[in-house]
Amino acid sequence: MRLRNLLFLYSRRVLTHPLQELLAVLGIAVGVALVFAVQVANTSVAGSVSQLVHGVSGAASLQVAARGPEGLDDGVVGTIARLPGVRIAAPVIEVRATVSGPRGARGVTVLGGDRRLVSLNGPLLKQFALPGLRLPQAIALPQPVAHAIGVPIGGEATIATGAEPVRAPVLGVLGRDQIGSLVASPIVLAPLDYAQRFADLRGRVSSVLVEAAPGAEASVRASLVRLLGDRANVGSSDREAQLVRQATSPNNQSTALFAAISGVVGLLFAFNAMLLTVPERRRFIAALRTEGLGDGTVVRLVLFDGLVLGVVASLVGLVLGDQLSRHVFHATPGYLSFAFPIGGQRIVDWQSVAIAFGGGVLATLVAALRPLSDLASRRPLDSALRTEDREEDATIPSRWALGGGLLLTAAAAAIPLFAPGAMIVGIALLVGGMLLLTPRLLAAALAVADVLARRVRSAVLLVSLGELRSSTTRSLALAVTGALAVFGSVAVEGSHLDLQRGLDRDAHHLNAQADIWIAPAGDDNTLATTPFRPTVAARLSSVPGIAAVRDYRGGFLDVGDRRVWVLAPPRADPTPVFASQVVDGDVATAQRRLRAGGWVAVSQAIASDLHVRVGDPVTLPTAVPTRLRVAAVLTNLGWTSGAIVLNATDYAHAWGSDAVSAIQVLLDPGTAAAAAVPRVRAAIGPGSGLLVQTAAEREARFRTLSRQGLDRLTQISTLLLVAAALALAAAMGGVVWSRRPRLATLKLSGFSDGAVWRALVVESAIVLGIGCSIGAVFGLCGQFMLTRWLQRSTGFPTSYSAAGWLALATFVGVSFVAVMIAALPGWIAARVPLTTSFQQD
Amino acid sequence: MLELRGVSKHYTAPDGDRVRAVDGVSLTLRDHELLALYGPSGSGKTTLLLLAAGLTRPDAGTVCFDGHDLARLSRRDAARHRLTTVGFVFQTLRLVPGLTAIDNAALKLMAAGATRREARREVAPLLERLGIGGRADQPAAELSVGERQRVAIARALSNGPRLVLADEPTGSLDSRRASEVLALLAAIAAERSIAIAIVTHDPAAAASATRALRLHDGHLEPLAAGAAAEAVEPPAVVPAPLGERG
Ligand SMILES: Nc1ncnc2c1ncn2[C@@H]1O[C@H](COP(=O)(O)OP(=O)(O)O)[C@@H](O)[C@H]1O
Ligand SMILES: [Mg+2]
Repeated sequence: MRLRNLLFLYSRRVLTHPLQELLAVLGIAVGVALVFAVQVANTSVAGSVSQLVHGVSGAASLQVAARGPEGLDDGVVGTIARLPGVRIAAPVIEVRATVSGPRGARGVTVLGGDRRLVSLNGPLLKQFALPGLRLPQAIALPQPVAHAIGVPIGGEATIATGAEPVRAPVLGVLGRDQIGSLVASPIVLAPLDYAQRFADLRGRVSSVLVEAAPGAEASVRASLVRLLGDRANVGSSDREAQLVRQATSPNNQSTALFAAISGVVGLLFAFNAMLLTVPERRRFIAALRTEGLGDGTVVRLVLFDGLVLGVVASLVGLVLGDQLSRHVFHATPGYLSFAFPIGGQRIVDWQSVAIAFGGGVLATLVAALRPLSDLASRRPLDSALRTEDREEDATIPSRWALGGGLLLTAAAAAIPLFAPGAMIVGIALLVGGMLLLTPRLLAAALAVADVLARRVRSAVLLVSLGELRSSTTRSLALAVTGALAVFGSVAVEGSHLDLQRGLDRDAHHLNAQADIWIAPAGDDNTLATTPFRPTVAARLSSVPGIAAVRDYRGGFLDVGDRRVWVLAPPRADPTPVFASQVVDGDVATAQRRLRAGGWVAVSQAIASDLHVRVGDPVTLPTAVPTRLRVAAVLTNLGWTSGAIVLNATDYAHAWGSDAVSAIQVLLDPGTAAAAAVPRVRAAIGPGSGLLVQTAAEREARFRTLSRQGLDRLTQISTLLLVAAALALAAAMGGVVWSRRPRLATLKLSGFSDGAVWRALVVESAIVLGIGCSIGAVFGLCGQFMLTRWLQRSTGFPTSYSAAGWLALATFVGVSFVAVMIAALPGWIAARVPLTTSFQQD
Repeated sequence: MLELRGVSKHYTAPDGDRVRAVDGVSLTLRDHELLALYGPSGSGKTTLLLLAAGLTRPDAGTVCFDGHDLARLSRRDAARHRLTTVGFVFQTLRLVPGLTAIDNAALKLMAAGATRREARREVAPLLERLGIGGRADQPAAELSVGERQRVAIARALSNGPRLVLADEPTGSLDSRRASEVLALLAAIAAERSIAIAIVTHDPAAAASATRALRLHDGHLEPLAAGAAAEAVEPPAVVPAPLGERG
């Protein structure tokens, strides 16, 4: 058949059933949109850091970076510059800071450099040649940062790096025309010696960027390692980008998985929508085949059908996903900005487009091929003829489906026991099992309902059940849509709650170790990673009600390709680690050893990177390389790259600095924290840049931030529910509408409008109730597996608790909403004129 | 041209009983021939036509067209046979609801590779001759059953078949229309030298037919032309409302 004829027939088919086709488009589009938006959001985080890194490093391919915030002695710059093969050695100050003005404050990375950086020729570095930055004391900001804090050119901004904030004149505001998409990066540029002064790093540098002469890179790298390898990290200049990629990957993995599950559910919605059109498409193809259309042409016809639908729906999905990534998924995960300069750029690469689009088209094709199964039957035309008489082919639940369903479900149940690593496969098996078992469960439930209905002697109920049993494909499609909707929501939202509970529990433990915390202000410092000189501690001794004052240390440490969160509670802290954090090792022993010193607890991922177990020695790549022994293996404590716990005294030794990152205040029994806070503030005095918070306040901040990290998961599960409601509404509407001739027949036999309507509502309530309860039960199993997967593969702390209430609420909510929605077209359809019963289907 | 030899077809009813829908039927059909097939409902008329068209395979016996056993044709050849050689009018008509009358009639030609325009030009005169030229652009779903029957006949004739098999094509036409359609089929059989077999309940059909046979419980019985009237039962209305089928 000619292409134009295929197109013509296709368009006619679509025009006869626009609602069902629209529904299919919607289902696929939702799936594609979710996958695409999550992809874009994920690439954007790592991509923005990459762009910044390249903007800074320019022609430099190597970097020598300090291992701690104290930096390296700036004498190394001259030493490096004199190495053979080195063309340029440019010192850089890089510190996290909070910049504020009359309109607000922003967390930024301060980049300090001089003319040597300019000669590396990076797009950002050229700005150090700005006239303003040749002045000894001035800074430049990207336009969005300047706007956010409300400081114009010539104004003054306050920069706080650790303790004492300084006021700095802003002599450059950089726009898109100067630094391109880097304008979205949270940075502050400053002359090197100015940055050294206000960051309290006189005579120090954070890193040295090195440009080697052509061909000399390997030898330069080797001599750098020989010279500085024990004190500093020598590596390629895009190290930071690699670190952020590593840090985002567990989170990306979990959002990608959640998106994939939602995507699959969306595509299954589409599949179901197409299932509604299957009887009609099969009849059409049967008609053509009996007229003599060959197998090849039939295949082409069906493929064409699927291809058009897939392409159109996937395009709609891309547009939808684009909007989603702009307006819903745009927030950068806040917690990552503590450790990385993450910008607001939205980066769309071709892989994201290809994965989402290709996946959508492919899945649609697979779903569209259902009518082709008729070609495969042994007596080909018999099946074509059979569709002639009946309104549809009753898909009687076959023994094969039952057996297969039980097998898949059993296999899924075995996976957590025997192959916990393959949890994803287990979830897929579970969904497969659910889909295969639903027909049997539906049939069984209908049979039970039938028996009950005979007792009740309700004509309405009998009619509803009769209708349900006579249109198995449609009932099944509805039940499966309901089951999938509830399954997806319960599994995704349930494990999301488990994750949140785990993070909240950790946040509570970490903060409850002191009554009051004193640490540098700024959102970036929520994890207490900014060092400061603990000079204020002495002033607290005279404050009444204080039982003890302890030094807490912490920061970030690059271990391999991870930027690890380091927690160093004071030796006096009785519980440096908690039972819920420990994955491997005895908790009491670990606590004793950590307090005694010489021991360290590390996250699972770090332990496996370094190939160490409890009791093994490990050398941390700190400023003063330090050999400790592993006391316990932990979860990642909510930090994706993993965490390390050691006591504050060992920390001071390993970092070669007695700076602290927080002061813990313990109060006398009976003294309320809220009452003590003002006294502590008064004792510290104004202008210190330190924030005084109660444990509860600090815990609340932790929670807010961990919620931010999980935002995307919340959004995905909400969107899934909305999509489910839409899919069900449209499916119900479509089914009710196509049922009109039969409704008219009922009325001919004496049923009133009201009775017909009630029969319709009862019918949808029965079929959705059954479908949604199947989904709820399987969803709880899915939640268990998904939570286990999250814990294992991302190392996040989780706390599993079967989301029974969630399942119940989703089950009731989804079936109620869908029945309500069905009631409206049902009401209209119930008023169908009697003559409709004479129409052909 | 068409030769059925000892053909049988059995079905298994839902209750497990075996139904001998067609039981050892032998029949030869030549060019120019117009066969009228009578028989009570359930006697196997539809099944016999499906067998003759090669749309279903016999459990016993052979169906040969021009000496070729239809059961032995490859799938591709069988499809080509249906596409180019046979025209079939189904009892349930099998029109595509989203297409207009003329597009439904042109469907077979489009399937054979004609452009839509060519196919429409080809079938337009046929629709005229069947008296539904004025309804050509009406969606099939809006046509009366009688009009739909004539669209189905036009489609069966559209590809210039050598064998036309029509299952109660005039069941819903008034007697004047029915005899017009029958006369048209007879004329086409004569002018194109093709074979036509129609299942009917209309006693008048036997008059236009060159031969009349009666099917009873799957067995074929000869029927004298004059005896047609007593073999006839009230026509079944298609499609029947409320599922009470004849
Ligand atoms: N696909 C089928 N499956 C089972 N039984 C069938 C099928 N088609 C026809 N029959 C049975 O075969 C017998 C003959 O049917 P049919 O050929 O349609 O008769 P007629 O067209 O004369 O009414 C009937 O008893 C009918 O119920
Ligand atoms: Mg029949």
